[in-house]
Amino acid sequence: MILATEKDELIPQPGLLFVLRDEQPHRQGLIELPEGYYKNIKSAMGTVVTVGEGVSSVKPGDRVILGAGIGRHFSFVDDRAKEVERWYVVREGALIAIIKDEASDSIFRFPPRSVGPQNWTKTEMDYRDGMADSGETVKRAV
Amino acid sequence: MTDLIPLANRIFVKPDPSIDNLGDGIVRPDSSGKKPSMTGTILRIGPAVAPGLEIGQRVAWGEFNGNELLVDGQTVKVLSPDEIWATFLPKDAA
Repeated sequence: MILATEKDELIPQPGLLFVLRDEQPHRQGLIELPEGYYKNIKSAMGTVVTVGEGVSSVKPGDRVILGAGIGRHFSFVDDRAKEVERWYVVREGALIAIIKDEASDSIFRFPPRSVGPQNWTKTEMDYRDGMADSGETVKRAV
Repeated sequence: MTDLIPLANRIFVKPDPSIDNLGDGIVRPDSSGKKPSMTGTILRIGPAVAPGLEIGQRVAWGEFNGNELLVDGQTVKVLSPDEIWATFLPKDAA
């Protein structure tokens, strides 16, 4: 945990970057999870906050798709030690893609309002199985 | 600190006080899920550490990175360079 007041003073080590991950897809209303469903699905997308020396393929503000197993992060907390923000620490080489045009809405969107697993597509099943972080899933979702 | 010299690419860091110890008068027991500090100041640097990190520099690491030594009653974090994820801007530049 790091005090949120210090977050702007952090400089990533060479080759690393910090990413602010998007809100979970079901909290954004992009998908609807059936009752009793595993709720810990994470978004595979995020926004680059800052980059370390030697990182050349992305810059702050770029929208990116993260690789699998991204879990390393800094938790920023308020003065009561409550987490207020989280930055994921990513190696440049672990990024899957930069999103150049989100306006088309054609990338990483799932069919809206699925009614249940029996009607889910393969991509949704991958998503359900917790593979949403993987580049493979993203490729299939496009 | 006792004269401990880090070997190879090890870095000794003095952790900052835990954020749970905020001086607000509230004592949080260990059972409250108190987390260890993830920031601190470099005390000593091993001979094989590449240039870029300096003694006195403030750094941040991952929650589960590194090991701890208790030296003269003081906790010392032992990290390798790749376990240090970020440095802090120097105070005069912040």
